[in-house]
Amino acid sequence: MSYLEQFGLEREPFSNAPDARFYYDTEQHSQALLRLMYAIDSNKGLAVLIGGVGTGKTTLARRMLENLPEEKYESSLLVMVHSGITQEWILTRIAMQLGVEAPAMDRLTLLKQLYDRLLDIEESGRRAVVLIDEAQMLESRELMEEFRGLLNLEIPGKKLLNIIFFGLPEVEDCLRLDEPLAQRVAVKYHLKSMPVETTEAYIKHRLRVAKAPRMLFDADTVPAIHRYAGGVPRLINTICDNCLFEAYLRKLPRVNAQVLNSVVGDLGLLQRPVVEPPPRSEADDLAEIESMLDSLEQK
Amino acid sequence: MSNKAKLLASAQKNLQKGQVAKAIRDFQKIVEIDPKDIRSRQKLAELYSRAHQLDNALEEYEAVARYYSENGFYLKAIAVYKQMQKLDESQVKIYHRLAELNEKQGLIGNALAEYRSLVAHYEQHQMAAEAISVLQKMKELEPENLNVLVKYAESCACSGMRDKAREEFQEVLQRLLEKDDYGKILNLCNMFLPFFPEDPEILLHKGDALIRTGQPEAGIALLKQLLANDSEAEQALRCLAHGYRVVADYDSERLTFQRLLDRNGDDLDLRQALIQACLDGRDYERALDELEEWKDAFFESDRIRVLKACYETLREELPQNERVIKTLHAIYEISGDGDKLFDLMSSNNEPASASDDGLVEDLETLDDDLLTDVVGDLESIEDSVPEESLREGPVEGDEPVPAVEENEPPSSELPADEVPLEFLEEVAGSDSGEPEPDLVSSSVVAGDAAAVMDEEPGREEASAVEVEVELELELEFDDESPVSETADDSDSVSADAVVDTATTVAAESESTRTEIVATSEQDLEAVAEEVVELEEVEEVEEVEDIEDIEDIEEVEDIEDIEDIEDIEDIEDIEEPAAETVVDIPARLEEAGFYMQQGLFAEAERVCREILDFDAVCVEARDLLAEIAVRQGKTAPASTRPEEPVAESLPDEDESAFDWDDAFRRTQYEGAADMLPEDAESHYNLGIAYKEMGLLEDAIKEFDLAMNHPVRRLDSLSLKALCLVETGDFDAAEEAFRLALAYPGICPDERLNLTFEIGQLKERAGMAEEALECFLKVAESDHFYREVGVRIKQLRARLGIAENDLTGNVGTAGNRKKVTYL
Repeated sequence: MSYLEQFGLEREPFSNAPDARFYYDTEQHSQALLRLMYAIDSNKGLAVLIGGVGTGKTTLARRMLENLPEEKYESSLLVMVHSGITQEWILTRIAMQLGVEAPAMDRLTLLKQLYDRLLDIEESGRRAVVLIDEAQMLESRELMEEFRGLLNLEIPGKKLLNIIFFGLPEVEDCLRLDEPLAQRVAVKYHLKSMPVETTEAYIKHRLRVAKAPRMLFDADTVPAIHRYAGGVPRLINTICDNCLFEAYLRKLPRVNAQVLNSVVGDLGLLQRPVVEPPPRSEADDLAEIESMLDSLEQK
Repeated sequence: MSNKAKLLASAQKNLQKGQVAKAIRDFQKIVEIDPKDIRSRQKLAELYSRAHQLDNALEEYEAVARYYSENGFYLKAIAVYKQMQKLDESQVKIYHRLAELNEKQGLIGNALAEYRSLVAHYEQHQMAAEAISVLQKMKELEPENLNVLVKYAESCACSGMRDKAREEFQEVLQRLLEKDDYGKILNLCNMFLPFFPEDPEILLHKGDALIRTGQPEAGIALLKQLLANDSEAEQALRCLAHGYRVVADYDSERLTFQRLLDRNGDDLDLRQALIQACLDGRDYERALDELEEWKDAFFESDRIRVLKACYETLREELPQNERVIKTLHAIYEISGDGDKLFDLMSSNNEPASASDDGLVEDLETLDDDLLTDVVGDLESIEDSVPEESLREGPVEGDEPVPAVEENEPPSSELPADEVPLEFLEEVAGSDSGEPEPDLVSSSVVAGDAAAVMDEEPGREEASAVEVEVELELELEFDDESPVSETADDSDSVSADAVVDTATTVAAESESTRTEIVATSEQDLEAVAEEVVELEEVEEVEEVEDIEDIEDIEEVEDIEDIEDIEDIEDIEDIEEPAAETVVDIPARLEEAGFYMQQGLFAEAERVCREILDFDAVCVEARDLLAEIAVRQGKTAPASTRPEEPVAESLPDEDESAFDWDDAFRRTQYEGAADMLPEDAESHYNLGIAYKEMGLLEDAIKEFDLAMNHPVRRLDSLSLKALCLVETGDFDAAEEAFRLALAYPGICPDERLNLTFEIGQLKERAGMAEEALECFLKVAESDHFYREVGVRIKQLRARLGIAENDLTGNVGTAGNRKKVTYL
């Protein structure tokens, strides 16, 4: 008997594998999505979503891809898995993803093919969108320059391609490798860790999607999970998944504080500085804007 | 396992098997081992009760209650005693204990309720002394409770304690007089007259109360009866005068004041009242005589405003009267009414120099020193004397004054003892049988007219006034020729004929008509002793008709204005609809705010506006229901099944003394300004009752507690839970919904209440509605009180398939769009 059976679940509620069924629309995720869609729909060119590890950037990227219907968008998601990628390689992949059927080896020809394709897309009344996940891996000036070049593909009064970077905060360093590109960032949004209330709702949401018949965590464990996970969804998933398994092994009907302590001990999270993430406030947002303006002034 | 634990386990098992006798034996042993184990003693008492061993049950309960009481747990003690009371309602000592404990806990209403039950018990067993003793306690407990006071006084009276009863009656009467509550005074007098049938004070107050509560004829008759025994009773005469004023019998009013003045001629209040009666009775000459005679005294007592008003009235009625003009001139000089003085002079074509002469002359009519004083004080007088004082001023403390004989010449000309009480008889002819005020008044006027005619032959001014009035009428109704004729013919009317005419007319007309007749008559009688034509009657009637028409037009005008206002109101209401946007949550919040402030009318208005826009808005409806409850319009049907509060609260007859309702009134009257700690006490007592299974008592306490916001929501919820336990699901749901409609309710509370409604619906067999509630809860929190399980079960029972989220696919469809680099 697996823990799924013991707890009456139909699927694993806390898997870290991307699964849009488990997408939980927190306030900040929906705000991020709103802004990124605005950037695309108004042909802003370049937008950036920044978030710490496990804050849901990939989930959001995939959610966004889901939200771009083919009849209106020619969209594609490129997930960077290593940093040694070349300009030609990325240009070819983008061209292929956008529908260039036989990309030329020659860079100039390839750019011409891509431009023609973008014109086709434009003429069909759609928008071309490229989402780049793990964009912090694009850590060379050449790559940044290549993206600037792509953003320059335009017709009078209109950009032909929209690019959105999803990445860790280091993505800002990458952008600074090419100052003109950094200045082209039209929309930027930071994902923060979740507050405790959202953590509770998030856990309940995932349990519900997994068809849990009842709450499987004691009330006092949820704030503790939040603290140990620092409000980061991926860590929350990891802790909760392990807790359920531990409770299953102990034949407990639900996760209690003892189970949680045991799990976080095993995961090495007890030593981790437990810091309650400060609640996001208007002041935070203003500070963020100010810092962005400062960085722009420096450039 | 200890012996006690074994016994407890055994008792538990026996109870599960339904073997009460064995369980009792187990608990008896437990109590023997540990007599201080109050819980076990209480359990034992309950088991005795279940086994119908009442004596044993009461004994155990008593021990438990005593323990609680001695240790300061009054609420628990009350709950236990209440349980005992349910078992044996005849035990007097329980009522006493309950009353004492409630008093200690500050639950005065509850204490009074217990005492009330005791009084009923003692009365039933004809133990008057004991009942009075309890009533004495009640009085001490809540001295301001009039119902208790009245009951106490009545009980004293019934027991032959006449002095005490009279004393208590006096106390109640004084309280009611302070409140001007004449309806209750009337009831009080009616209640005590059988005990004190000849008591002049009670009779006097009854007469006065009758007059002030819309039965002036009966009041006048009673006062006359009283005066028949004591013709000098000043207060009765004052009340009688007021009665005459109420029925607009100004001549009788004047005569009554005259009677009072005969004994106290210097009383300017009385004099002023008499003059006012003359003016209102259109006896202007008499009024003028009085004023001229007493004007110095009026000046001296700072009554210049009164004088001015009286003389201005006379100036209108007797425009050519030189005495009026002269005095008015002087008044204006003193009061600094330059404009009016100028108008007065110019309307009388006085040369400018005449002013000075006039002033000198006028001043001669007044004492110089007096004038100086008056001028000095004038401004303050002008500011301080209210307009109403002109009418009401004459009677001190709003106490009116009595009457005297009609056909007598002014009584100042008669010695006091020559004014017999026959006038009472004469007037009584009209008063006793349901009056024909027209006839009475007109005959009085006629009598006076004859008398006055002898006394004062010259009244040219009066006829001039009438001509002026009739000319105005003529302008408005040109085609009404008889009217103009009347004016011309009026000179040729004899006073005798007028008497006949007036009487004839009066027999057919209404009271207002009579006044007109009187006016005409006075004017006419001054003219001459000539032949009277029948046109005279017609003329009078015409004048009346015209006035009627004017009245009707005025009414129509008013109605028009009201219509316009209505339309404006409607427009106001419709305005938001026209915009087609009503922010319902904001409006609900507004209504909630009004509720919190106790502004129920405003809250109701807002709710109705919301309902105009959204007729099915549940929150607005709930709020309306709550408003109704808080205003005491209707108590929830299920709130007090055995005590129809709404019916017993004397809304229908506010003036009634309702002893049966005395304690409840106390509770509910107190509720409006209930202190938070009182609400807390009621709330905790409600919980104690609920725990004891005394659900009805618990509901009563929660009802009281919810009158203060501090425990309103909790009380509503717990009341609803009690109602669920009693099986009254409708009332329970209503209470839950009232709680849901409570302004500012937090999301958790909302969730809880919605869940409770779901449970209630499920229990009531309404599975679909229950599912709806649970789904609503699950929307916010799928795991709230395991609502997911409830939903699953209900769906299974109803054969409804579960929602499947698998339709919300992952990235499979877009997989080709994802590239890994």
